[in-house]
Amino acid sequence: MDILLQFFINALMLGAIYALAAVAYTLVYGILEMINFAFGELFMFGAFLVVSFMLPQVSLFGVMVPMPGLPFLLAAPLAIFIVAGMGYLIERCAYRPLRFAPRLAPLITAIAVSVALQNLAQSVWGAQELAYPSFFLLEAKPIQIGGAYISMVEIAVIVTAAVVMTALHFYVKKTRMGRAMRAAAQDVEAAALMGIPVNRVIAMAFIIGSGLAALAGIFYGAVYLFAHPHMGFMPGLKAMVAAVLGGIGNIRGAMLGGIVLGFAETFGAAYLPNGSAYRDAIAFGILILLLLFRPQGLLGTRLPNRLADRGAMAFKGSASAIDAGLARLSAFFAGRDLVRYASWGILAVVAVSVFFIFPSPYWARVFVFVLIYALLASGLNIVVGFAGLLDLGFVAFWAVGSYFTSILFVEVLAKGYGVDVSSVWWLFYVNLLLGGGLAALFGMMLGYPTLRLRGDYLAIMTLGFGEIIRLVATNWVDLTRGPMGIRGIPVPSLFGYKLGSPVQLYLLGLVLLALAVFLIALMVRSYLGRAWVAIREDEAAAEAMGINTARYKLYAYSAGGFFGGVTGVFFAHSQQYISPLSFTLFENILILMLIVLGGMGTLAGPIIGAAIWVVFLEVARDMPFIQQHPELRFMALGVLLVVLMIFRPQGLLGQKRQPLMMS
Amino acid sequence: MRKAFRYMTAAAALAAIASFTASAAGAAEEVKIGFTAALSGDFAAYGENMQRGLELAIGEINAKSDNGGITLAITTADDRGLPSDGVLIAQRFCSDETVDIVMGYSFSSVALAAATIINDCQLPVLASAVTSPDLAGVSPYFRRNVLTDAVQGELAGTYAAKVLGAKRIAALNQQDDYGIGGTDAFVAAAKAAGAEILSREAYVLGTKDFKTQLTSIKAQTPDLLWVGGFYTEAAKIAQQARQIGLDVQILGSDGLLSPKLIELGGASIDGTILYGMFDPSVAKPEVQAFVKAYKDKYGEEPNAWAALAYDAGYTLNEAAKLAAAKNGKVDRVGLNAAFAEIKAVPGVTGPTTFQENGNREGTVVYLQVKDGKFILAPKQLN
Amino acid sequence: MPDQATALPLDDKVLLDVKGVGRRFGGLVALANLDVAIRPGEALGLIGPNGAGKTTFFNIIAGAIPVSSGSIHLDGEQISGLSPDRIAGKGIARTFQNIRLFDEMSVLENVLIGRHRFFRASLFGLIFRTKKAHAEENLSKEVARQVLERVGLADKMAQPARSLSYGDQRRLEIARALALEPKLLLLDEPMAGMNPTEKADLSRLIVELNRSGMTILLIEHDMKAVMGISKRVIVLHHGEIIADGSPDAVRADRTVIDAYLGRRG
Repeated sequence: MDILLQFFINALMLGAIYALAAVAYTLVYGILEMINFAFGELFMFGAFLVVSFMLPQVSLFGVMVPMPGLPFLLAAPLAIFIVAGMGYLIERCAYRPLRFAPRLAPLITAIAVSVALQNLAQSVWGAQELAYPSFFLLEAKPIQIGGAYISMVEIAVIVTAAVVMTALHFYVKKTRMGRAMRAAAQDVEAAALMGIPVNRVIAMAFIIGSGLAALAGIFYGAVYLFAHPHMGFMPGLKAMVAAVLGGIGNIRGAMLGGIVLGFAETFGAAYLPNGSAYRDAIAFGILILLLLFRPQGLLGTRLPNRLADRGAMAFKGSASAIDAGLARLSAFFAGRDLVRYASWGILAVVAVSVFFIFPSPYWARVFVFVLIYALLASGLNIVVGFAGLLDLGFVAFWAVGSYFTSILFVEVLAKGYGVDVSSVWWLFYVNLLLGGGLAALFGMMLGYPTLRLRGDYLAIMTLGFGEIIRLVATNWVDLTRGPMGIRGIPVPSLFGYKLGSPVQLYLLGLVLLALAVFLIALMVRSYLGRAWVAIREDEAAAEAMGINTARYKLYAYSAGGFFGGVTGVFFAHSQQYISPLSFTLFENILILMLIVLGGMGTLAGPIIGAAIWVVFLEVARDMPFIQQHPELRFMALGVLLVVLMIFRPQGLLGQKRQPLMMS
Repeated sequence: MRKAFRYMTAAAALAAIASFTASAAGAAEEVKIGFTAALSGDFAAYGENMQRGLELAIGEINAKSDNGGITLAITTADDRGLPSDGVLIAQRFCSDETVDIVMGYSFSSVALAAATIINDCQLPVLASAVTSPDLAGVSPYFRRNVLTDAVQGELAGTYAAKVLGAKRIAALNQQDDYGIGGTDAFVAAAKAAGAEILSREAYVLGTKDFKTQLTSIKAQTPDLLWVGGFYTEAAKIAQQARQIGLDVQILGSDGLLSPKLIELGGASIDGTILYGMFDPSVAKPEVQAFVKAYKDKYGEEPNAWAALAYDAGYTLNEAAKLAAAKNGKVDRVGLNAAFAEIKAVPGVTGPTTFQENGNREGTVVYLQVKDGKFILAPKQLN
Repeated sequence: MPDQATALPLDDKVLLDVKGVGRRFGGLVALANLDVAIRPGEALGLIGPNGAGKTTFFNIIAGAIPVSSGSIHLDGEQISGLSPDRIAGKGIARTFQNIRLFDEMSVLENVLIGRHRFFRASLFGLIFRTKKAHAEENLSKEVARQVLERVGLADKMAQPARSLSYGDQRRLEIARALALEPKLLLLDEPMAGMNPTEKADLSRLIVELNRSGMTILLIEHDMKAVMGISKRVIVLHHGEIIADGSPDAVRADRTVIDAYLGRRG
């Protein structure tokens, strides 16, 4: 009984924090139908700011700076106020210019903002956890109920969450601004026509949402007694899940979703086998089940993402100074066939790279990575660029391919049956196909539950899937050797001739990339590709023209998955060692950004994007600036992406459309 | 282009040297360290600690006037804790002929991924935080100055059962090679010494909430809680154990050895026993000097990662001097041979001697947190 | 001269048979118990004031909105309850009130989307570019070219759809629908927002299509526009049919004048 009571208290406290942050997501989503990924980072800034204000001195950018040492009750409101201001600024500068852009644009921008803020926080406060200064709530003795304990902080969290959410409820119900928010949530355009100041309403939603996220972060920090640059990421995802759970756009639903998630996680971790290792997977597992059986959420009434009039990502040209400059560049490519253009892209990469590769194994290795990322990006591009479906779980396919071949070669053949793996060198080539096929199958599995969903929902769902695969790879130690990883994977060979040197791997990868681009081009330049693009441009119209959108989305997932799996097999054999650390959500975001950088829905875009980014990452290592602050490389990526989304959403080379017919 | 790249590397290196030494002029032999660790992402802190420890050692060594003409330089590469970046960086250091040795590595998986490449180009490695037994003998060029998790865990298991007299043990381990390897050995040794293992649960590095596990553990009424993991999580475990009224002796692995443990754990961490190769409280002058120099430079106290990296810097210096004396120059192969010969290089973590498989000889000391400080634990394993 | 509406039943074949179809949104009745029979070769006009339920009726036929009650048969085969893509596959093509083209695709590709239901090539066929795959692609391209010629867009085939003028976009939507080789063509206010010249052109095109045998159901807001095209007109008001007959008869109908023309002043 004591145990159950203690679990209950823990669950309620965790649920209250999730609920607070979930309301932030739901508030913005209700009006803009956009998931503001950056709330997780605002959550983190809340915790950092309050800690900074409370301490007598804090190290900022490595320099000790005296701080006011405010009491908690002053520091917390101040931090919330500042974070709310940040939320407003982010909305104003990064999202508002994209208000009428296709729906993928603000979503990708939000992810980019989130990446930039995370790495900015590391530059400001350092990579170490900052201890939460003690204050009256922490010093008070916990209350004992039977054998269970509840601390004053936990009581404060639960009570404050309840009060804040009640207040919010009345604010939305009773005040003018609240009513305007509800009207905007019903229909933004209609609300605008009725004279509701939509921009102010949206700004207000961001301000309140950011304040709530900050409050949640402050409490999260106070309960677990720390602040850290990456602390907001996972709770942010969970809060997002909670919001979806309750029925996104529904404030009471978000509260309920938060509490449900708190309970599911606590009791799941306690009673499921190996539950504590899998606890992050519990949230995503529930999410997937929910979306399968009740996609509108627990309290939701309408299916979100009603077929929107605007397409998923068809960018209308935007006029700006930067654009004009880049337009000149792309004018050069205009009017040319993109398949030829893609082959040029590959040729250009090859031509440039030979100058580096043969003299330096290091540069050969760098270009092996260019090829791996180009392969991955090309696969993901089918899903995102052509079919217009956001996929944040693409790394799972990569992982499936990698693990398939590694387990087969090392765990089964070499260790299980004592086979000399060099005698079955041909199996690598078979595995390229089998690994790709297996990943394609996973793509179907992933695709199936998401068929009824669109846009942002799909993004969260795929994200959940990717995280589950990674957690399984980490925790199913008997199958995957868990975090120890699998080593001793043989390098590819041909009739016993090893292709293990960086240059040989590069050439092999080049063959694979050329094949992949060729295959993708063949698919895209047929009725298959036309159907994908039609779904991207206007799903309802595509359906009215006889396209079974569900089936073609599945095809897109499987085709993308196939290339992800093939890359996985090549990846595993080229580096001879794999571990779950390679298949993170951050890598997925990176691959997505490569495509955006190069140009979505083009064949050359992913390749050019991969080449630019991977080479930049390597060259940047030598900059003295980066030697001091390595995390700035990724902040640069985030900022670059936001700028790109606003000024040149079609990517560096995306001016010309991809022809979709056989020639 | 390649020259430009070289030039940039050189410029970066020069900048690095300039910031560390005032009297590097006339150096006969520059030994260049390629330092790699996770310096961005979730777990950047551990890499940063190593970087600071190593840079401190380099600064001190380069300031010496009589170092046999040896100066140390460093070039840094962030591996983000990713094996794939580890591969790339290994190749980078291999190809950069000015790099004489690779140091760092925050995660065994990254070092494992890099091992084959580094072996092929005969580039010596001196790692200071990777404990996977898989790395033993992985290459004749690979060495580390930290004990393997298997050795550590076995010592700790015996200590728990025999010295602390624990009969009923609950175990928590970080779900990675370090946590699993150490805890496997700990559990085996504790069982062999007669203790009962009530439960064993894994958590992912970066976990914040332990109340659920601790509530279950509380119901098992253990007399010892083993934590095979890092200080960041151990601090939260101690805090939350107290919050739910679980009062149990905590014994932790050397990943706990950081002043941050005390800062983050507050009063709850008091009484926790842990082991490590580095005792910041010991009155030895070289340890005190190190702690003071580190604090002066970085505004915080050093932890085990920093101390091991600091010692690694001095160990390298000894090997470099020996190689220079023997061959008149320091190159990769000569340096590697010198590593095998040097014995008992003094350091803040005790003397360093390498075994043939690249592991370090040595043992651990047991420490206890008392009134916000690490002290030598009253009972030691003999 | 006998009324067209009464002349047609002589051929008692029915292409689209709508029986007792109703649709409610919550408590609101959008369509109440409609019975409509469309005969092959007919150009039926559907008019009614704003909010009368015309577009709802269209969406129900096309499968975008499910029926609440009743059934719809095409050539004797039930289509109510099928998904929009299956209904399109059975031979019903539509245009949209607010133009919904695939903006980033070329004019020709847009029309090829209309050909989607004729493609059979397998993935294998696509990858190895088999003769069959080539043949069907070429056939569809040929049909698409013909259709584009018919609507007068042959010289703009390679342009992206978004670059077309408003009138041309309307034409392209019709071309896309025609490429489907439909048994029944649903046109939802195809002349909305056009200038008089464009309207006259489009009117001529629709009449030509009808003459060549295409069955057409046309929603038009403005009865004058319907007059030149349809021989039979249905008037919808508050989800109910209040008149069904020749344009002249409908125009003279008291109820219609009250409900529709009268209201429009």
